Amino acid sequence: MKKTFIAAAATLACAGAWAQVTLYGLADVGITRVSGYAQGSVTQLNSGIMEGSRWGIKSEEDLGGGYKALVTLESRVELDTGGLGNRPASGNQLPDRLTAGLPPAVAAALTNAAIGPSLGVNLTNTAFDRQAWVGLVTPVGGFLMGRQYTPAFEAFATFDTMNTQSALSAAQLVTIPVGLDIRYNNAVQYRIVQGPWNAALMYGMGEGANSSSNRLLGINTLYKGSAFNVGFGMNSKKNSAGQQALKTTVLGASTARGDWIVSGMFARIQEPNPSSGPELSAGLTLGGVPAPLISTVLDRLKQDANLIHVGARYNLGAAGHITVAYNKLNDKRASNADISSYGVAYTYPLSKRTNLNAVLTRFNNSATAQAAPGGNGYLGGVTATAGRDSTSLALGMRHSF
Amino acid sequence: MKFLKLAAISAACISVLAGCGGGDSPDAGSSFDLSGAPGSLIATPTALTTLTPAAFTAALTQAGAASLLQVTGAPMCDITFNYFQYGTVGGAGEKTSASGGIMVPGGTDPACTGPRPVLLYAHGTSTDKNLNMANPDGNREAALVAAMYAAQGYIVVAPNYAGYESSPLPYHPYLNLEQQAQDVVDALAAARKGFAAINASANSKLFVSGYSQGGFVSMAAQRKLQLAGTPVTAGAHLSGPYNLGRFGDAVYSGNVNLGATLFSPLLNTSFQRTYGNIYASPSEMYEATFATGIETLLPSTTPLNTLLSTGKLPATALFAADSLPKPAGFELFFGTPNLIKTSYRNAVLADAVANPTAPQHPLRVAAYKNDLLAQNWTPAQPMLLCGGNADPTVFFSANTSTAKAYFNGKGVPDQAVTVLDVDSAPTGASDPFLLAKGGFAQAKAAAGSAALAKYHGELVPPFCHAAARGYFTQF
Repeated sequence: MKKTFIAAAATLACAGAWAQVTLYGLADVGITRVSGYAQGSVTQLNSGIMEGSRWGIKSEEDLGGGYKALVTLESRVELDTGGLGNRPASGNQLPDRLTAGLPPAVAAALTNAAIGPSLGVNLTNTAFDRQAWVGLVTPVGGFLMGRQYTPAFEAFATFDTMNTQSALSAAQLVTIPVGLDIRYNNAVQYRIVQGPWNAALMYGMGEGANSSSNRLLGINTLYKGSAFNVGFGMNSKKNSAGQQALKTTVLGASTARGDWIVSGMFARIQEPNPSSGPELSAGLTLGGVPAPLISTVLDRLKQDANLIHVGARYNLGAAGHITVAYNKLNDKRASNADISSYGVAYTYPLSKRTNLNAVLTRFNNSATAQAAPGGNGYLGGVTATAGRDSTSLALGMRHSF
Repeated sequence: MKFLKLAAISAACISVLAGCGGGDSPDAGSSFDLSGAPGSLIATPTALTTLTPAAFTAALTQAGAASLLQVTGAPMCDITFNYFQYGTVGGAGEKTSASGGIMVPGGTDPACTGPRPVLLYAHGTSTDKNLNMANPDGNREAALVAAMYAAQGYIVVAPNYAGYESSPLPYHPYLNLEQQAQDVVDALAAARKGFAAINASANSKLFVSGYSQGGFVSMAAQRKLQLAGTPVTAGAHLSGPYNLGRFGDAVYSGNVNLGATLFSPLLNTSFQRTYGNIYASPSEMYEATFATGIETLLPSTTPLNTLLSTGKLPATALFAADSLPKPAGFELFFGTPNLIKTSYRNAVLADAVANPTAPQHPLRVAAYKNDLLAQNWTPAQPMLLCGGNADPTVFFSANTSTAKAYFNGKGVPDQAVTVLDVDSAPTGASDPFLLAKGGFAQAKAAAGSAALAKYHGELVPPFCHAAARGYFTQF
């Protein structure tokens, strides 16, 4: 079925040069129940529990002499609505520590206008939000240009036992505010593979108004050996005013022993100036918020945190695999919004391409934290109030093609 | 010896770290206490604006209030207006939060640097739900306090009270003695937790003051702090309704005060929320025209003039035109439509006749329960009681004169309770309040026929505050 379609697509797309065009996709949908929201426990149909649902087109053309051209266009698709994006169950609600103690009009402006409505995934309904790039593979490495995954994200996804899947992923602790840039626009990437060793260097030009704004520098290097994997990744970004903004550094290792895979990861998250600070500042100034108060708001969006992850996966053979993980975010700022999460995930294969998944995750929020568990393709948002914990149960099915 | 020094340094470091108990880098960013506990500082205070003496003078001039500086003196200090929120309780002990201002003096003048005295300031009655003492812009009372105290070197902590501004409490516990005292003391405790973060360096002196409702609140706070073992240095309670029970009896007997149609619903709702027995339903107490929605009418985001012009409240008619007794000179407060039902008034009057000192009617029970002169309390720290003897809003003799007599009767020495009637002739060239009295006389004469209407709200406050500041300098 797949091959037939590919051939047909190839015939349609390429009258002249020979290129292999692949239509591919992944459908992941299920029922989730998450406790601790302002409205209580929420039961929903959610798309993207283990992995974001998608479809895409890949084209690959062999140019000979070790040269290849690659294209990937990958669109998000929300199976619960058919749409391109999603919003958290908590809507515009912000963590209390962003709004607490601010004058009511300012807190309301942040919640209802300046920040709250921006919480979600692909709210601009970008067609190829997941990936859109063209690449040239050469004997000395690959060059990719377009919207791509960042090097630090690649390292993070490698050493997160859950590979960023489900509420149990360490990534779920750094969603609001964002602690890791997953993808970047206008990015140029150089990749090289040498045996078990690979590395990537990315320069993201963002979508800034001038050549100093929104720049991201990303780098990673991963060693994937037979006995163990180890790697490092780093993203460092400037905001539109050219100030040092989010910087995420990832160190990870994993080892396979028989039916076990054990992983550990440490991530450092530093954001000395808010990534969207200049835009937020301009909006609040227009809204008549006095400058000292804007400084207070921007200060609350700064980050300085460590994220620790440990996890183990046990392979059950034909019965799938089971994973346990523990994640801890240590907020080093005075806000002290520490979060820990732990749980168990079970994947049962119906076939090579279709599996069933069950994930149970507990989020423990410290007195000033209020993260709610989400999924790979959507945000959990925030619990009812600071310090409110949450439990997430997700039962879903995933099919890839 | 060297070892001992190192050990001492280590111990100091440990205690510093332990004292913070928050994030790993307590200096980095806002800290939060979202527990809602009374006296908790919800977040590090945030500055709204800093005004230099020149900028403050210009702002007052633009607001047409430059003459205020003739009373306060020219500003000496920069003032940073900080906003903060604190945990406190409502009238029935329910957990809530409120906001307020912390005015911090700065600059280079010796009067503005180094450790400064703290003034806890309690504001007067406001119908404005959005009242914010952290913002002097368009807030005459905040501007007055800033000019009188902060610009002269006082750190001013000025809570907005539960029920105002950010507070989620759906009413204001107006003149609830215990709640209002706790409210402002909670605000002070919370503000002190934020002092270091906003460069407010406090010395050991604590003064407490307030005007009108705030005079009642500041006296209640002085009592509470004394009972808590953390007494004030001195208090200055200005034009306050300290003798709430007797004052209420006077109003119901027909000696109605100016503003009673505002004060009455604020007070009734406060007592109803706390005691639940003031009426079975609002229509038992209020005329049908006003009963619906009266419990949530004040404080309001709608301007007072609009509330009056749209008939939400009568301007002056507290009682019905035919309600008796109707003393001569108080006809203004009797009319149609009126606020309080004659049947309710009669029940209060009957109790006042039958049980003058041991009230049975729930409204009178509540008023006497919250009467500052019915607490069997002997002030241990000095206080100034200031007002004007012709005040039509808070009667001077029934409150201020009576308070002094009451405290003297409890054994408080005469010099520890100073009364100032700014509307009186100076006793001579050595009268310590010569300037306040002279200034008031001038202002009153300038106000002409509007003097009575402006008496409580505009004429008395600057001069009582000037006297209070002078009074504080002796400590």
